[in-house]
Amino acid sequence: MSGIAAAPGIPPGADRDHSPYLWRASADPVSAAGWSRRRLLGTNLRSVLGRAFPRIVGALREPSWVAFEVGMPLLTTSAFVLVYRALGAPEAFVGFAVVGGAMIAFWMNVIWMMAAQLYWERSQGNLELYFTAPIHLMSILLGMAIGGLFMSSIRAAVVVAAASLLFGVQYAIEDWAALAVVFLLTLAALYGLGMLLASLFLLWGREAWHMVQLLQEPVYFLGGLYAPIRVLGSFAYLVAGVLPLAVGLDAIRQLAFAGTEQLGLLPVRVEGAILAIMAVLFLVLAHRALAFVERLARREGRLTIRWQ
Amino acid sequence: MSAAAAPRPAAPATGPAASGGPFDPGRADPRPLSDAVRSLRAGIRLGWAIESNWSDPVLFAIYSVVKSVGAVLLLVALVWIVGAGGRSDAVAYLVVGSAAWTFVGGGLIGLVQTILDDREQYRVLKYVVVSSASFLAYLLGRSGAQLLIATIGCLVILTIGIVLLGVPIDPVAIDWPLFAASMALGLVGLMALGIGLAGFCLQLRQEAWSYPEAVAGGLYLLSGAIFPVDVLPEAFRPAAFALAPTWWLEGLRRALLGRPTPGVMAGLSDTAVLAALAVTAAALVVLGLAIFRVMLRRARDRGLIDQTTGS
Repeated sequence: MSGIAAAPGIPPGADRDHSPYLWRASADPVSAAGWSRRRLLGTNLRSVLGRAFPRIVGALREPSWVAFEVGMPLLTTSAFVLVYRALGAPEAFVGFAVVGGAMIAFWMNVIWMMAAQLYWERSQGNLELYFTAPIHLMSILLGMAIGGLFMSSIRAAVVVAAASLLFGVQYAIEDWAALAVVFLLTLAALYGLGMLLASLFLLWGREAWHMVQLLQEPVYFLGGLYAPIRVLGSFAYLVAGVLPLAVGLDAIRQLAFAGTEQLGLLPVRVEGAILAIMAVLFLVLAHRALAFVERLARREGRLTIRWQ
Repeated sequence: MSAAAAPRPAAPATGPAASGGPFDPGRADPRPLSDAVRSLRAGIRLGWAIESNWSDPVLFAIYSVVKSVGAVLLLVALVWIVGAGGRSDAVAYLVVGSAAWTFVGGGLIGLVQTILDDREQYRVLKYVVVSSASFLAYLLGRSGAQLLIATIGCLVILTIGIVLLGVPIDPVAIDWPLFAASMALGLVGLMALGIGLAGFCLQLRQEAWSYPEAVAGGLYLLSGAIFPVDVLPEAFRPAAFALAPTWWLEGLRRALLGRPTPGVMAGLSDTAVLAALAVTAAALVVLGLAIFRVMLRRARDRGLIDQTTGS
């Protein structure tokens, strides 16, 4: 049979179309595996769970991270609250800083444990395993996102609870459902952006570390982490169209502190729609970018070179 | 004849002598000062290469500037949003504090990350430790490169503050002796703290990377970096006054802005501020070096120099 070479030891009469011992020209491990759709789906779902597992179990096994993940943002948030107090700002701003301090947990998780993660995986030698397994890279990233969400949610919840108690923040929530929807849309858009950035960061070498650094303070400013994004003037509309953290946080603040809508950038419904569009767009772009990166890895092999 | 007294077998001829090159006995002699200077220079060169050659100079310059600008605008936004934009004292306080804080990134956080980077990522720490190089001088050199980058960030923030935000810093009116003394003592204190923390972090398996950030976060809150110490709850104020960065920042503000911070600090003379800075920085030097020596010895004994934790 042309194009197929039998490996030594294959018994005569074996199923030559599906035998794993036969070489066939194939585009990627998924087509090489020749699995049914159901089996592929099952494997991808197991990959999601498999990648989420170490993050969740690791977080439970090594609780020392809680001290840093909660303590450090609490320190920073406290510093900004005290700046507001020093400036004699209205108490609503203290609440704004606390909510922003909590949302940093998700942003840090997205840039460090999603965007830069494939870069670390490459250094640790795991990336080639992902590329050679019959799974889609999106399932690995989704697993990372689920595991990361577990840690980030604990961090954010503790920061909100502790800072609210410490500084006596009063919330005025009139529409819990809208708040929950906006929050989930923000997370979907944020993690979609994280998946997209992961593929870009993989193309970079040591720049990845520096780019992550660059995505901190400037994004805290542009994303309105500690001061409402409205302070940016008309530039804020541009930021809201690119950065899900900015538009999500603006909507969350409007819903968590009823009566402060005049400090918001856009009506909550509009911001919700922007977030939904962003979530879909980032996921589609991430899918394409990862497919491109995977092709590049197979063709050139340079994406598995370490310490570059 | 005991084994110890047995004549040592001749080692196989290798190296320059084997290849006919002259052997320089001076190279085997310990020369602490020249070794330290050479290690310091090598550390600075290596540190600068690591920090700057990941990109082309233009992108590197943009990176160095944007990060610093973002940090200061983040704070100035707070002033604007509460309608205190007209309060030049508040803006000046934040700008000088943010500008000075860039040195904490290089002198404290960067120094600890250097030792962890060399052990975990580049895996060269064991070679540096067993070489004739002065380890402490090498570490300070690596940190020195980061301080150079911090200087760029500091100057950018001050320039933005003066040009765009109207911070009243007049180069002619700056109290240069006070500025130089405050900066020198403050940096020595910060680096001493970084040295001690680097030794401590060598002992850790998990979360070693987080310790310098945590310590810097604590200092940020307590040392009056972005708000006066008077705003702190009363229970925390003694801790603030025991920290060298509190006095370092106050000295810099007095030198650059020509006036003390209102509140408790206003009652102190420049000399008192400098004296407090000198005492607290000296305490950090003694403590930092002692911790580093003890921790380095412990790390050697327990084989922690060449371990990789995967963190």
